[in-house]
Amino acid sequence: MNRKKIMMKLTTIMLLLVLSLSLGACLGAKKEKEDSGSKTTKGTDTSNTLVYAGESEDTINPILNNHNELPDIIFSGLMKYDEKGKPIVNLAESFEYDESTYTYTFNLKKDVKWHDGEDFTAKDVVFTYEVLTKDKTLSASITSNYQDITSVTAPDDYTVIIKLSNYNAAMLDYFTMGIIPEHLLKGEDINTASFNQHPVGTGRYKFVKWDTGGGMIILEKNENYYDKVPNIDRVIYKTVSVESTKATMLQSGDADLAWLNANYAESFRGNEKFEKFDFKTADYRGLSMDFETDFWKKNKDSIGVLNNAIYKQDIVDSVLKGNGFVAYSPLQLNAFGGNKAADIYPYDLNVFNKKMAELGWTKNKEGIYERNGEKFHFTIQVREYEEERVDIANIVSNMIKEAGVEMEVVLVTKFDWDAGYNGFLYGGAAQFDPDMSYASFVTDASGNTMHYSNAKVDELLNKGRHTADEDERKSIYHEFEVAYAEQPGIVLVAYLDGNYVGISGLEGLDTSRVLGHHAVGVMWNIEEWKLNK
Amino acid sequence: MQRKTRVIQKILKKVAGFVIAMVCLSIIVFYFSRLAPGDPLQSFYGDAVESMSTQELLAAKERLGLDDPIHIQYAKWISNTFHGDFGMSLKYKIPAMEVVSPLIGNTLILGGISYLVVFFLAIFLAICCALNEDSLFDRIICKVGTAAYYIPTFWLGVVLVLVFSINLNWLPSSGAYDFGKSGDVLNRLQHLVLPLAVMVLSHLWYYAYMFRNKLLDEFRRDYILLAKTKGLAKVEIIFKHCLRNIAPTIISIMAISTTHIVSGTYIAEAVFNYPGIGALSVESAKYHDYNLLLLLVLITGALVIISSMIAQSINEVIDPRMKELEAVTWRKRTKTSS
Amino acid sequence: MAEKNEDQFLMVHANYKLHIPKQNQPSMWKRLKGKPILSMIVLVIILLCCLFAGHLANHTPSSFYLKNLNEPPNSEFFFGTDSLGRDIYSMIWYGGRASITIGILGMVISTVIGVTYGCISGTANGKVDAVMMRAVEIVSSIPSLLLILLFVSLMGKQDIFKISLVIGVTGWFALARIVRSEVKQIRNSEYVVAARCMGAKFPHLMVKHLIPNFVSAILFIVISSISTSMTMESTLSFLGLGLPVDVISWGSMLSLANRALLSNTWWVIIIPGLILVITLLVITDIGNYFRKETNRKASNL
Repeated sequence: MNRKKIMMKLTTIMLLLVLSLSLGACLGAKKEKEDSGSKTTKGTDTSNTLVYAGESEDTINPILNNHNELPDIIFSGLMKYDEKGKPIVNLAESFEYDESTYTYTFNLKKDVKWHDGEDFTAKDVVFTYEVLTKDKTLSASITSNYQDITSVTAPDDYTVIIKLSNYNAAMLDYFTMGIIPEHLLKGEDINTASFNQHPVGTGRYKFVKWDTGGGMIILEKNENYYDKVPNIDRVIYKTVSVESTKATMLQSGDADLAWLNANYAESFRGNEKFEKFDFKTADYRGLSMDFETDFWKKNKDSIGVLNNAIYKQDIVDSVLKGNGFVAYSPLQLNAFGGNKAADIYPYDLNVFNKKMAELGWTKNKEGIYERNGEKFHFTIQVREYEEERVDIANIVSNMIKEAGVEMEVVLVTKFDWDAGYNGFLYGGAAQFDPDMSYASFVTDASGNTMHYSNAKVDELLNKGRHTADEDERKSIYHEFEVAYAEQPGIVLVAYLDGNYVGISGLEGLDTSRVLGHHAVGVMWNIEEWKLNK
Repeated sequence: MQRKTRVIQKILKKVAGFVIAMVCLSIIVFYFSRLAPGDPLQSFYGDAVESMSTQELLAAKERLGLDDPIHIQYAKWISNTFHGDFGMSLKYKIPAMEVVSPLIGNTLILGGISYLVVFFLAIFLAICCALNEDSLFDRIICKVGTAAYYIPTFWLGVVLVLVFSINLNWLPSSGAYDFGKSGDVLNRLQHLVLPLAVMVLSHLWYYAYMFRNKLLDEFRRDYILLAKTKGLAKVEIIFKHCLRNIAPTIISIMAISTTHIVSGTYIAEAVFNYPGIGALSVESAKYHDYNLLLLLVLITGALVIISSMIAQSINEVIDPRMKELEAVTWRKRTKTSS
Repeated sequence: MAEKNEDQFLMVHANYKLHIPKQNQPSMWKRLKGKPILSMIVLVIILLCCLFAGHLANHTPSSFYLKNLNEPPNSEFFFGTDSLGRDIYSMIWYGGRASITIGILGMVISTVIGVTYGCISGTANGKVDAVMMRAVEIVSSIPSLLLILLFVSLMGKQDIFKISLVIGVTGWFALARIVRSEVKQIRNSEYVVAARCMGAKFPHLMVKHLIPNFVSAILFIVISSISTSMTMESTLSFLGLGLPVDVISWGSMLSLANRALLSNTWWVIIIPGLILVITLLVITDIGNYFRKETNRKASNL
């Protein structure tokens, strides 16, 4: 009898355990069910829905993340880029520039509406540029670009006057910055506003829902867009944190388009179910040295010479599978750059050894160079999830080890600037105006995290920024390329192609545009894309 | 009447134990996570930290509550938690609870189902193998099971994707459900098959083998002989006697394994891009997202502590020896049951 | 039998020596029967290969042979090369050193901590035991992977010892609980009580009386902790938190394999995985044998 009772108790408890578990599971599912029931009014027909596999996101705000696709298509700026990367009007109907007072006057389009139905007015523009120039807590890698702005005013609802302190050749480029709505953000901390997860813009697609449980961000086309309304009804941005997963998602039909690294993209070549879009990008990789660290304070004369010991073509052929080319200048693919005279470091170990001897380095017993009793040994941090960068770092380390220099590769999750690493594996791009390199190379500029400082570079980049004549600018930037090559802060390795792979039913991607860092900008003409699944 | 108060007393004791455990856990993790190198400000502001002046840095720290000594930070944090405020996620820049809540369901589904499947299959396999000890069947299952257990989970996951999603195109390779189908059970199940397979394959044998060995030890006990002479059938002996005798072991193993399986979801979630709190916890640990990490650890901790309490109660009911905790001292000897 | 009978009728004389029947001298084969010879041979071969990696390897394991990318196994690269021209064959033997060291170190650390803790807790009085077990419960309620991540971020740069330490220190909870429950079941046995009455110290009690009695219960867990440590190392590599990039291990090779899946280079995927799994299987097989050795009684069922 007693035994039976015990068994009864036991089974009841077990059942309760099982029940509570499954209940929890059901609750989770049920909650989402209600959610989706109310939100998806257009039904779930996905024949005209583009599924894009992209990086994981935390915020969608053009001011906070300028390396991403989503802000580009949800928001729009005063200007936008055409297929050649030149700025043309967008939210502005027209603009005038007064050379004597350095003043831009924008006439805004009249019947533009925010996605929530509010009218778009000059107030929003003023608000956006005030945040960019006055908010101190903002992610600062871009704010240097706006430091020439002295005032932004709106005499009426459809006119904006922006005054600069000096001529800035790249200013029109910077006016492409997406405008954010004043009526939703006024008085909020821009870093933490819930707006960043529920963005409202004026762009081609409007934000519908951030479905974290499904790992996707859902956008629908903006029927009231002031210009050409896109063909594709809906864009689903799936957030993916592992690189190889994007490739398998394409393979298994869970995604229609993704940016892949060369290794994965190559496996799709010749597969007729897919189309490979090879964009050129101005995105390069290199070893960026931290000039605040003791080692480079003492040895900054010996950075350039490392180029002689790295056989970059081999890296392009192996890591990039030939999808890229050897880098010698940070402006190599820019319309104003590409000065062959800056290519001053051929791969030649004899030259390397000779130069090292001139610099006062001698080899020790282990075959490693030494100077003043210190080994030529430095550390480079690489983020562990970026396969391409890890590979490049490893191979470079191997190559210069053979030449007698020790480079230690340290894998990190996020860059740690306080740990005293001597540098990091850098990626960057100047796909539009060459002034994009200002923030990275001028002494103490906002993107110059490695504290590179070179008086001649400062002078040339400042001159380039404030010069109007195109030919003159070209020669200035050519000069900059040579000056930089002579005393570099980054050992440039290679330029990468932007390898996008899409299903064969996707048409309209235009590869004439040179893309930016992380091959961003592929959706620049998304309104023209067509999808036949 | 007296019995009722005793039960209430017992429950109160359990609840108190639970609360104390949770507080200890939160203290450990709170201090531990702040020992780790890495700048939480950078998680929040990104590279902007580089160009902030000292004053701005101080102001920013104050806003995030990072300027106080650790014990004050902890005191603040814990008083906020009683109002349901678990702080801001530094990476996502929204309240931590908001980051976690949409993902809990997914992980509970994956973890819960695999938990049930693992133990159901483990007991089943253990009985099959123990009954046919050292037969060909037993040997094959042992070898295959061990091999499956030792194959690294992530590797197994990718191979499954390659075979079933890419080559055969039977199952989706990623996600928890397709667009607009979050309530569609069938669609969810389709997405669950591969992650479940990985979870089950990588955990099953560990438990099945333990149970099998436990059963085999049990078969060598004398009471089996008695049962046999009584004329009981094999199956009857196993279900009526052996299983009951090893139930405490099974149950305490089941209690411990909640963490094992919860942390097992990480790899499955990562490989199959299945949104859940497993992947989120590792991400938050990597990015020093303290508040998020704390919340996640507390959630899994609560789950494990509760399940081990349940296991303890069950065991006390089945096997009085386990009650020693309360009454029995070193010298007192308890009678062996059954 | 027949032979034996014949022997019995031998003439006995003054020089008679004690008779030793022939069949009592077991043959080599009989002696080895039932023992995991195959597993031992394989394990010894693998261990020797890793030990003499320097002599076996025909390429530098850390070099990138950029002219020989993705080569299938051939006479120069016995196990082929990966997408960056690394020689799989040489890497395997060098990688094995790191992996096996981590496996054994991790096992030793977790076993020492787990057994000691479990014995103390199991023999201590109710209150101490409850506190000790609650402590384990609390810490082990943090998923092990998270705990490892926390430790890893505290430790800074990784090396083989640190990684084994992290794996060992975070891997003993289950063992401690099992040891404790086993100890609780045997601590009241006559021989333990007797030993205590005679004033045996705790270490003596633990080594002489407790451990031998629960070895069979924990041996599988102990041995499998070698394998768990090795798999954990590969998982950490997969997460990018493993050994520094210039130290090769089977784990890091497997996480490279993960990237090769789409490019159809099977040798990069299969060979390291196979070697790892074979090693782990062989270790478990040997463990299994010892488990049976301590428990030879026939089943009553």
